[in-house]
Amino acid sequence: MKTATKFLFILFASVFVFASCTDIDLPNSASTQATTVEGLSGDFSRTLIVDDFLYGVDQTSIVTYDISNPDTPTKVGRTEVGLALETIYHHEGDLFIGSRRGMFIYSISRNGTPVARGDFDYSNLPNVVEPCDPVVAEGNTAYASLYTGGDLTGDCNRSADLQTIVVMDISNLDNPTLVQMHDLQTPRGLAIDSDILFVCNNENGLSVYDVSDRTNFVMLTQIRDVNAWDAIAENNKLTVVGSTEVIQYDYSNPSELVELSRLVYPNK
Amino acid sequence: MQKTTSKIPLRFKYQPAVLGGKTLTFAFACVSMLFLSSCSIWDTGWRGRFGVNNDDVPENVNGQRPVYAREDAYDIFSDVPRAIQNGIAVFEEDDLLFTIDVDLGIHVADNSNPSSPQRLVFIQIPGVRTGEASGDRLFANNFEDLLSIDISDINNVSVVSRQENFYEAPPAFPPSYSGFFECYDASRGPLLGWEQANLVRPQCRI
Repeated sequence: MKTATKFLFILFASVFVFASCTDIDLPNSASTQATTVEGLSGDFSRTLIVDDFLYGVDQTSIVTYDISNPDTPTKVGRTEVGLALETIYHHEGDLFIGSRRGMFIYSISRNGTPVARGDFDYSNLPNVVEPCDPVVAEGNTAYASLYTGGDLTGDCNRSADLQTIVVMDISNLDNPTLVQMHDLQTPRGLAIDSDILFVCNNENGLSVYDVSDRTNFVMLTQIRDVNAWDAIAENNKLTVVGSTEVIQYDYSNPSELVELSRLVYPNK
Repeated sequence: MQKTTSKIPLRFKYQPAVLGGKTLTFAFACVSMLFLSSCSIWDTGWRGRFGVNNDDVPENVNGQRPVYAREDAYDIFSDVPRAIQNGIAVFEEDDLLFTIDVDLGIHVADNSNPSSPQRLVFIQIPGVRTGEASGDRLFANNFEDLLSIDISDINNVSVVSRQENFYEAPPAFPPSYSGFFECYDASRGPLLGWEQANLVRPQCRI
Protein backbone atom coordinates (compact mmCIF):
# COMPACT_ATOMS: atom_id res chain seq x y z
CA MET A 1 0.00 0.00 0.00
CA LYS A 2 2.68 2.40 1.07
CA THR A 3 4.83 1.46 -1.90
CA ALA A 4 1.89 1.83 -4.19
CA THR A 5 1.18 5.26 -2.81
CA LYS A 6 4.76 6.26 -3.34
CA PHE A 7 4.70 4.87 -6.83
CA LEU A 8 1.55 6.73 -7.68
CA PHE A 9 2.91 9.87 -6.17
CA ILE A 10 6.12 9.61 -8.11
CA LEU A 11 4.19 8.88 -11.27
CA PHE A 12 2.00 11.89 -10.72
CA ALA A 13 4.96 14.02 -9.77
CA SER A 14 6.94 12.98 -12.82
CA VAL A 15 4.08 13.93 -15.06
CA PHE A 16 3.74 17.20 -13.22
CA VAL A 17 7.45 17.84 -13.36
CA PHE A 18 7.75 16.92 -16.98
CA ALA A 19 4.78 19.12 -17.75
CA SER A 20 6.44 21.98 -15.95
CA CYS A 21 9.67 21.46 -17.84
CA THR A 22 7.84 21.27 -21.08
CA ASP A 23 6.14 24.46 -20.16
CA ILE A 24 9.40 26.17 -19.37
CA ASP A 25 11.74 24.85 -21.96
CA LEU A 26 9.36 24.65 -24.83
CA PRO A 27 7.57 27.94 -24.69
CA ASN A 28 7.61 28.92 -28.34
CA SER A 29 4.90 27.85 -30.62
CA ALA A 30 4.88 29.86 -33.81
CA SER A 31 8.53 29.65 -34.71
CA THR A 32 9.13 25.98 -34.05
CA GLN A 33 8.37 24.57 -37.43
CA ALA A 34 10.36 27.22 -39.20
CA THR A 35 13.53 26.18 -40.93
CA THR A 36 15.42 29.18 -39.65
CA VAL A 37 17.81 28.86 -36.78
CA GLU A 38 16.39 29.91 -33.48
CA GLY A 39 18.45 31.88 -31.08
CA LEU A 40 19.27 30.85 -27.59
CA SER A 41 16.11 32.61 -26.56
CA GLY A 42 16.90 34.53 -23.46
CA ASP A 43 18.99 31.86 -21.84
CA PHE A 44 21.61 34.50 -21.24
CA SER A 45 20.08 37.42 -19.52
CA ARG A 46 21.69 40.36 -17.89
CA THR A 47 24.58 40.74 -15.59
CA LEU A 48 25.24 43.62 -13.31
CA ILE A 49 27.99 44.71 -11.00
CA VAL A 50 27.34 46.00 -7.50
CA ASP A 51 30.51 46.99 -5.70
CA ASP A 52 32.76 43.92 -5.65
CA PHE A 53 30.13 41.50 -6.87
CA LEU A 54 28.87 40.50 -10.25
CA TYR A 55 25.38 39.05 -10.58
CA GLY A 56 24.06 37.18 -13.54
CA VAL A 57 20.75 35.49 -14.05
CA ASP A 58 20.22 32.40 -16.10
CA GLN A 59 16.92 30.64 -16.51
CA THR A 60 16.52 29.64 -12.89
CA SER A 61 19.16 31.25 -10.69
CA ILE A 62 21.16 34.26 -9.70
CA VAL A 63 24.85 33.50 -9.95
CA THR A 64 27.10 35.59 -7.71
CA TYR A 65 30.79 36.18 -8.38
CA ASP A 66 33.25 38.08 -6.24
CA ILE A 67 35.20 40.27 -8.63
CA SER A 68 37.24 42.22 -6.08
CA ASN A 69 40.14 40.75 -8.00
CA PRO A 70 38.77 41.09 -11.55
CA ASP A 71 41.42 38.77 -12.96
CA THR A 72 40.25 35.87 -10.88
CA PRO A 73 36.51 36.12 -10.31
CA THR A 74 35.47 33.64 -7.66
CA LYS A 75 32.07 32.09 -7.50
CA VAL A 76 30.27 32.98 -4.28
CA GLY A 77 27.19 30.96 -4.97
CA ARG A 78 24.17 30.16 -7.02
CA THR A 79 20.78 31.20 -5.67
CA GLU A 80 17.82 29.36 -7.08
CA VAL A 81 15.01 31.81 -7.68
CA GLY A 82 12.33 30.32 -9.86
CA LEU A 83 11.66 29.62 -13.48
CA ALA A 84 12.14 31.50 -16.71
CA LEU A 85 14.15 34.38 -15.29
CA GLU A 86 14.99 37.13 -17.72
CA THR A 87 16.28 40.35 -16.24
CA ILE A 88 18.06 41.73 -13.19
CA TYR A 89 18.01 45.28 -11.84
CA HIS A 90 19.75 46.85 -8.88
CA HIS A 91 18.23 49.54 -6.68
CA GLU A 92 19.65 50.64 -3.34
CA GLY A 93 21.10 47.31 -2.28
CA ASP A 94 18.21 45.23 -3.58
CA LEU A 95 17.99 43.10 -6.70
CA PHE A 96 14.83 42.96 -8.76
CA ILE A 97 14.54 39.88 -10.91
CA GLY A 98 12.10 39.85 -13.79
CA SER A 99 10.78 36.50 -14.92
CA ARG A 100 7.94 35.41 -17.10
CA ARG A 101 6.08 34.43 -13.98
CA GLY A 102 6.65 37.37 -11.73
CA MET A 103 9.04 39.77 -10.09
CA PHE A 104 11.34 38.61 -7.29
CA ILE A 105 13.06 40.85 -4.80
CA TYR A 106 16.40 39.94 -3.22
CA SER A 107 18.49 41.95 -0.78
CA ILE A 108 22.25 41.80 -1.10
CA SER A 109 23.72 40.41 2.10
CA ARG A 110 27.05 41.45 3.55
CA ASN A 111 28.91 38.59 1.89
CA GLY A 112 27.33 39.49 -1.45
CA THR A 113 24.83 36.67 -1.74
CA PRO A 114 21.23 37.56 -2.51
CA VAL A 115 18.68 36.91 0.22
CA ALA A 116 15.06 36.32 -0.80
CA ARG A 117 12.51 38.97 0.05
CA GLY A 118 9.07 39.22 -1.50
CA ASP A 119 7.76 38.41 -4.93
CA PHE A 120 4.93 39.50 -7.14
CA ASP A 121 3.17 36.85 -9.19
CA TYR A 122 2.02 38.05 -12.61
CA SER A 123 -0.37 35.15 -12.95
CA ASN A 124 -2.73 37.05 -10.65
CA LEU A 125 -2.99 39.83 -13.19
CA PRO A 126 -5.66 39.74 -15.85
CA ASN A 127 -4.65 38.64 -19.36
CA VAL A 128 -1.00 38.09 -18.59
CA VAL A 129 0.42 35.23 -20.58
CA GLU A 130 4.10 34.65 -19.79
CA PRO A 131 5.36 38.03 -20.77
CA CYS A 132 8.84 39.34 -21.32
CA ASP A 133 9.59 41.60 -18.46
CA PRO A 134 12.23 44.22 -17.87
CA VAL A 135 11.96 45.69 -14.37
CA VAL A 136 13.19 49.00 -12.96
CA ALA A 137 12.68 50.53 -9.52
CA GLU A 138 12.82 53.96 -7.97
CA GLY A 139 11.91 54.95 -4.44
CA ASN A 140 8.98 52.83 -3.31
CA THR A 141 7.89 51.85 -6.78
CA ALA A 142 8.88 49.13 -9.24
CA TYR A 143 7.87 49.18 -12.88
CA ALA A 144 7.76 46.06 -15.02
CA SER A 145 7.25 46.25 -18.73
CA LEU A 146 5.22 43.23 -19.74
CA TYR A 147 4.74 42.38 -23.34
CA THR A 148 4.11 39.55 -25.66
CA GLY A 149 4.54 39.58 -29.38
CA GLY A 150 7.57 39.50 -31.63
CA ASP A 151 10.89 40.60 -30.27
CA LEU A 152 14.46 40.73 -31.42
CA THR A 153 15.58 37.48 -29.95
CA GLY A 154 12.47 35.62 -30.98
CA ASP A 155 11.95 34.67 -27.39
CA CYS A 156 8.45 35.86 -26.82
CA ASN A 157 6.69 35.17 -30.06
CA ARG A 158 3.23 34.47 -28.82
CA SER A 159 -0.16 34.98 -30.24
CA ALA A 160 -1.54 36.80 -27.22
CA ASP A 161 -0.99 40.50 -27.41
CA LEU A 162 -0.08 42.05 -24.09
CA GLN A 163 1.32 45.54 -23.78
CA THR A 164 1.39 46.97 -20.31
CA ILE A 165 3.49 48.43 -17.54
CA VAL A 166 2.77 46.98 -14.14
CA VAL A 167 3.32 49.48 -11.34
CA MET A 168 4.09 47.85 -7.98
CA ASP A 169 4.51 49.27 -4.52
CA ILE A 170 7.74 47.99 -2.95
CA SER A 171 7.71 49.97 0.29
CA ASN A 172 7.47 46.56 1.93
CA LEU A 173 10.12 44.55 0.09
CA ASP A 174 8.70 41.36 1.52
CA ASN A 175 5.30 41.98 0.06
CA PRO A 176 5.14 43.99 -3.15
CA THR A 177 1.62 44.97 -4.15
CA LEU A 178 -0.06 46.08 -7.33
CA VAL A 179 -0.60 49.80 -7.75
CA GLN A 180 -1.98 49.69 -11.24
CA MET A 181 -1.44 48.52 -14.78
CA HIS A 182 -0.76 51.08 -17.43
CA ASP A 183 -1.37 49.89 -20.97
CA LEU A 184 1.11 51.13 -23.54
CA GLN A 185 2.10 50.43 -27.09
CA THR A 186 4.88 47.84 -27.38
CA PRO A 187 6.74 48.61 -24.14
CA ARG A 188 10.22 47.06 -24.01
CA GLY A 189 13.22 48.32 -22.06
CA LEU A 190 12.72 50.86 -19.29
CA ALA A 191 14.91 53.48 -17.68
CA ILE A 192 14.07 55.69 -14.74
CA ASP A 193 15.56 58.78 -13.17
CA SER A 194 13.62 60.02 -10.14
CA ASP A 195 10.17 60.95 -11.50
CA ILE A 196 10.95 60.50 -15.17
CA LEU A 197 10.22 57.12 -16.74
CA PHE A 198 11.60 56.37 -20.19
CA VAL A 199 9.83 53.64 -22.10
CA CYS A 200 11.31 52.06 -25.19
CA ASN A 201 8.54 51.21 -27.62
CA ASN A 202 10.61 49.25 -30.11
CA GLU A 203 9.59 50.26 -33.65
CA ASN A 204 7.09 52.72 -32.18
CA GLY A 205 9.82 54.90 -30.75
CA LEU A 206 10.40 56.17 -27.28
CA SER A 207 8.06 57.80 -24.78
CA VAL A 208 8.82 59.84 -21.67
CA TYR A 209 6.48 60.02 -18.69
CA ASP A 210 6.28 62.04 -15.52
CA VAL A 211 5.46 59.43 -12.88
CA SER A 212 5.57 61.67 -9.81
CA ASP A 213 1.98 60.47 -9.37
CA ARG A 214 2.52 56.78 -10.04
CA THR A 215 -1.20 56.19 -10.49
CA ASN A 216 -1.32 58.71 -13.27
CA PHE A 217 1.41 58.64 -15.91
CA VAL A 218 1.69 61.98 -17.67
CA MET A 219 3.30 61.77 -21.08
CA LEU A 220 5.91 64.49 -21.49
CA THR A 221 7.07 63.72 -24.95
CA GLN A 222 7.31 61.01 -27.54
CA ILE A 223 9.92 60.36 -30.19
CA ARG A 224 8.72 58.29 -33.06
CA ASP A 225 11.55 58.15 -35.54
CA VAL A 226 13.68 55.72 -33.55
CA ASN A 227 13.72 52.02 -32.95
CA ALA A 228 14.13 51.84 -29.18
CA TRP A 229 14.90 48.52 -27.53
CA ASP A 230 16.66 49.41 -24.31
CA ALA A 231 17.89 52.55 -22.60
CA ILE A 232 19.96 53.87 -19.74
CA ALA A 233 19.31 57.25 -18.13
CA GLU A 234 21.90 58.98 -15.99
CA ASN A 235 23.05 62.54 -15.35
CA ASN A 236 20.57 63.99 -17.82
CA LYS A 237 21.86 61.75 -20.59
CA LEU A 238 19.65 59.10 -22.10
CA THR A 239 21.32 56.41 -24.19
CA VAL A 240 19.01 54.37 -26.36
CA VAL A 241 19.84 51.29 -28.37
CA GLY A 242 17.71 50.31 -31.32
CA SER A 243 18.51 47.34 -33.45
CA THR A 244 21.13 49.11 -35.59
CA GLU A 245 22.01 52.39 -33.88
CA VAL A 246 22.74 54.04 -30.57
CA ILE A 247 21.17 57.44 -29.92
CA GLN A 248 21.98 59.80 -27.07
CA TYR A 249 19.70 62.53 -25.76
CA ASP A 250 20.01 65.30 -23.22
CA TYR A 251 16.96 65.21 -20.96
CA SER A 252 17.70 68.25 -18.78
CA ASN A 253 14.25 69.25 -19.94
CA PRO A 254 12.45 65.91 -20.08
CA SER A 255 9.59 67.41 -22.06
CA GLU A 256 11.96 68.23 -24.84
CA LEU A 257 14.71 65.71 -25.44
CA VAL A 258 17.66 67.11 -27.30
CA GLU A 259 19.35 64.64 -29.57
CA LEU A 260 23.09 64.68 -28.94
CA SER A 261 24.22 62.09 -31.40
CA ARG A 262 23.28 59.09 -33.41
CA LEU A 263 25.89 56.43 -33.58
CA VAL A 264 25.05 54.51 -36.68
CA TYR A 265 27.18 51.57 -37.60
CA PRO A 266 28.81 52.20 -39.95
CA ASN A 267 28.72 55.99 -39.77
CA LYS A 268 26.70 57.58 -42.50
CA MET B 1 -1.60 30.01 -25.81
CA GLN B 2 -3.51 29.17 -22.66
CA LYS B 3 -2.03 30.01 -19.35
CA THR B 4 -0.63 26.82 -17.90
CA THR B 5 1.32 28.23 -15.04
CA SER B 6 -1.05 27.94 -12.13
CA LYS B 7 0.24 24.61 -10.86
CA ILE B 8 3.86 25.62 -10.88
CA PRO B 9 5.26 27.08 -7.69
CA LEU B 10 6.73 30.50 -8.15
CA ARG B 11 9.86 29.60 -6.29
CA PHE B 12 11.58 26.26 -6.01
CA LYS B 13 11.80 26.70 -2.30
CA TYR B 14 8.02 26.57 -2.07
CA GLN B 15 7.89 23.07 -3.42
CA PRO B 16 8.42 21.19 -0.18
CA ALA B 17 5.66 23.22 1.42
CA VAL B 18 3.35 22.46 -1.45
CA LEU B 19 4.06 18.76 -1.29
CA GLY B 20 4.36 18.56 2.48
CA GLY B 21 4.83 15.58 4.78
CA LYS B 22 7.92 13.77 6.03
CA THR B 23 6.85 10.48 4.52
CA LEU B 24 7.17 12.00 1.12
CA THR B 25 10.82 12.84 1.54
CA PHE B 26 11.95 9.84 -0.45
CA ALA B 27 9.46 10.52 -3.17
CA PHE B 28 10.44 14.15 -3.19
CA ALA B 29 14.06 13.20 -3.63
CA CYS B 30 13.07 11.08 -6.57
CA VAL B 31 11.06 13.92 -7.99
CA SER B 32 13.98 16.25 -7.54
CA MET B 33 16.15 13.83 -9.43
CA LEU B 34 13.57 13.56 -12.13
CA PHE B 35 13.33 17.31 -12.20
CA LEU B 36 17.07 17.67 -12.49
CA SER B 37 17.38 15.02 -15.08
CA SER B 38 14.63 16.51 -17.16
CA CYS B 39 15.45 20.18 -16.75
CA SER B 40 19.14 20.59 -16.20
CA ILE B 41 21.58 20.29 -19.00
CA TRP B 42 24.50 18.00 -18.76
CA ASP B 43 26.78 16.87 -21.47
CA THR B 44 25.77 13.33 -20.88
CA GLY B 45 22.42 11.81 -20.36
CA TRP B 46 20.49 13.34 -23.21
CA ARG B 47 21.15 10.46 -25.46
CA GLY B 48 19.83 8.25 -22.71
CA ARG B 49 16.68 10.19 -22.28
CA PHE B 50 15.94 10.78 -25.93
CA GLY B 51 17.61 7.70 -27.32
CA VAL B 52 15.65 5.65 -29.79
CA ASN B 53 15.61 1.89 -29.78
CA ASN B 54 17.72 0.75 -32.73
CA ASP B 55 14.85 -1.08 -34.34
CA ASP B 56 12.80 2.10 -34.39
CA VAL B 57 15.39 4.31 -36.10
CA PRO B 58 14.12 5.31 -39.52
CA GLU B 59 16.55 5.28 -42.42
CA ASN B 60 15.36 8.69 -43.61
CA VAL B 61 13.03 11.14 -41.96
CA ASN B 62 12.35 14.84 -41.83
CA GLY B 63 13.19 16.36 -38.47
CA GLN B 64 15.28 18.78 -36.48
CA ARG B 65 19.05 18.86 -36.24
CA PRO B 66 21.37 20.98 -34.09
CA VAL B 67 23.09 24.02 -35.50
CA TYR B 68 26.54 24.26 -33.99
CA ALA B 69 28.53 27.39 -33.38
CA ARG B 70 31.45 27.91 -35.69
CA GLU B 71 34.90 26.61 -34.87
CA ASP B 72 36.00 30.03 -33.62
CA ALA B 73 33.23 30.02 -31.02
CA TYR B 74 35.68 30.66 -28.21
CA ASP B 75 37.94 33.15 -29.97
CA ILE B 76 37.78 36.62 -28.45
CA PHE B 77 39.56 39.53 -30.11
CA SER B 78 39.36 43.20 -31.10
CA ASP B 79 38.38 43.78 -34.68
CA VAL B 80 37.48 46.69 -36.92
CA PRO B 81 34.21 48.55 -36.24
CA ARG B 82 31.22 47.27 -38.14
CA ALA B 83 27.47 47.56 -38.51
CA ILE B 84 25.24 46.58 -35.60
CA GLN B 85 23.12 43.60 -36.56
CA ASN B 86 20.93 43.22 -33.53
CA GLY B 87 21.70 45.57 -30.67
CA ILE B 88 19.94 44.74 -27.43
CA ALA B 89 21.72 46.56 -24.65
CA VAL B 90 24.08 49.41 -23.89
CA PHE B 91 26.27 50.19 -20.94
CA GLU B 92 28.96 52.71 -20.15
CA GLU B 93 32.18 52.74 -18.23
CA ASP B 94 34.34 55.82 -17.98
CA ASP B 95 34.22 57.31 -21.45
CA LEU B 96 33.49 54.09 -23.26
CA LEU B 97 30.10 53.17 -24.65
CA PHE B 98 29.43 49.46 -25.14
CA THR B 99 26.67 48.04 -27.32
CA ILE B 100 25.85 44.35 -27.16
CA ASP B 101 25.15 42.77 -30.53
CA VAL B 102 23.30 39.51 -29.88
CA ASP B 103 25.54 36.46 -30.27
CA LEU B 104 28.18 38.37 -32.23
CA GLY B 105 30.10 40.65 -29.94
CA ILE B 106 30.29 44.09 -28.36
CA HIS B 107 30.74 47.37 -30.19
CA VAL B 108 32.86 49.92 -28.35
CA ALA B 109 32.83 53.68 -28.92
CA ASP B 110 34.70 56.56 -27.34
CA ASN B 111 31.93 58.58 -25.74
CA SER B 112 33.97 61.28 -24.05
CA ASN B 113 31.94 63.71 -26.11
CA PRO B 114 28.37 62.33 -26.24
CA SER B 115 27.60 64.74 -29.04
CA SER B 116 30.15 63.02 -31.18
CA PRO B 117 30.91 59.44 -30.17
CA GLN B 118 33.68 57.75 -32.10
CA ARG B 119 33.61 54.10 -33.06
CA LEU B 120 36.67 52.31 -31.75
CA VAL B 121 36.47 48.54 -32.15
CA PHE B 122 34.22 45.56 -32.34
CA ILE B 123 35.10 42.88 -29.82
CA GLN B 124 34.15 39.50 -31.18
CA ILE B 125 32.45 37.44 -28.44
CA PRO B 126 30.40 34.62 -29.96
CA GLY B 127 27.22 33.82 -28.06
CA VAL B 128 27.24 37.10 -26.13
CA ARG B 129 23.99 38.23 -24.52
CA THR B 130 25.17 40.14 -21.51
CA GLY B 131 28.05 42.30 -20.43
CA GLU B 132 29.21 44.80 -17.89
CA ALA B 133 32.40 46.81 -17.53
CA SER B 134 34.32 47.76 -14.43
CA GLY B 135 37.53 49.72 -14.69
CA ASP B 136 39.65 48.14 -17.39
CA ARG B 137 37.81 44.84 -17.24
CA LEU B 138 34.90 43.82 -19.39
CA PHE B 139 32.75 40.97 -18.13
CA ALA B 140 30.69 39.20 -20.75
CA ASN B 141 29.33 35.80 -21.51
CA ASN B 142 30.76 33.61 -24.26
CA PHE B 143 27.95 31.10 -24.59
CA GLU B 144 27.80 29.45 -21.14
CA ASP B 145 31.08 30.87 -19.90
CA LEU B 146 31.72 34.14 -18.10
CA LEU B 147 34.78 36.00 -19.33
CA SER B 148 36.83 38.67 -17.68
CA ILE B 149 38.44 40.60 -20.54
CA ASP B 150 41.30 43.06 -20.18
CA ILE B 151 40.31 46.15 -22.17
CA SER B 152 43.14 48.43 -21.06
CA ASP B 153 44.29 48.26 -24.67
CA ILE B 154 40.97 48.32 -26.45
CA ASN B 155 42.62 47.54 -29.78
CA ASN B 156 44.07 44.36 -28.42
CA VAL B 157 41.82 42.89 -25.75
CA SER B 158 42.66 39.64 -24.02
CA VAL B 159 40.76 37.14 -21.93
CA VAL B 160 42.23 37.02 -18.43
CA SER B 161 39.72 34.64 -16.92
CA ARG B 162 37.12 32.19 -18.13
CA GLN B 163 34.57 30.82 -15.66
CA GLU B 164 33.09 27.80 -17.33
CA ASN B 165 29.38 27.09 -17.16
CA PHE B 166 28.49 30.40 -15.56
CA TYR B 167 25.15 30.10 -17.29
CA GLU B 168 22.97 27.12 -17.91
CA ALA B 169 23.27 25.74 -21.38
CA PRO B 170 20.15 25.87 -23.53
CA PRO B 171 18.05 22.71 -23.75
CA ALA B 172 19.78 20.01 -25.75
CA PHE B 173 16.61 19.18 -27.62
CA PRO B 174 14.53 21.17 -30.10
CA PRO B 175 11.99 23.35 -28.28
CA SER B 176 8.27 22.92 -28.93
CA TYR B 177 8.91 19.97 -31.13
CA SER B 178 7.88 16.42 -31.17
CA GLY B 179 9.47 13.80 -33.37
CA PHE B 180 12.88 12.55 -34.43
CA PHE B 181 15.92 14.76 -34.10
CA GLU B 182 19.65 14.45 -34.48
CA CYS B 183 21.12 14.17 -30.97
CA TYR B 184 23.09 17.15 -29.75
CA ASP B 185 26.77 16.26 -29.43
CA ALA B 186 28.50 18.61 -26.96
CA SER B 187 31.92 17.65 -28.28
CA ARG B 188 31.06 19.45 -31.51
CA GLY B 189 30.73 22.76 -29.70
CA PRO B 190 28.04 25.09 -28.36
CA LEU B 191 24.51 24.77 -29.60
CA LEU B 192 23.25 27.76 -31.57
CA GLY B 193 19.79 26.51 -32.41
CA TRP B 194 17.87 23.95 -34.41
CA GLU B 195 16.94 23.62 -38.05
CA GLN B 196 14.67 21.42 -40.06
CA ALA B 197 16.49 18.90 -42.23
CA ASN B 198 16.33 15.48 -43.77
CA LEU B 199 17.81 13.17 -41.15
CA VAL B 200 19.57 9.90 -41.78
CA ARG B 201 19.08 7.37 -39.02
CA PRO B 202 18.44 9.95 -36.25
CA GLN B 203 19.17 8.49 -32.82
CA CYS B 204 16.98 10.83 -30.75
CA ARG B 205 13.29 11.43 -30.46
CA ILE B 206 11.13 13.59 -28.25
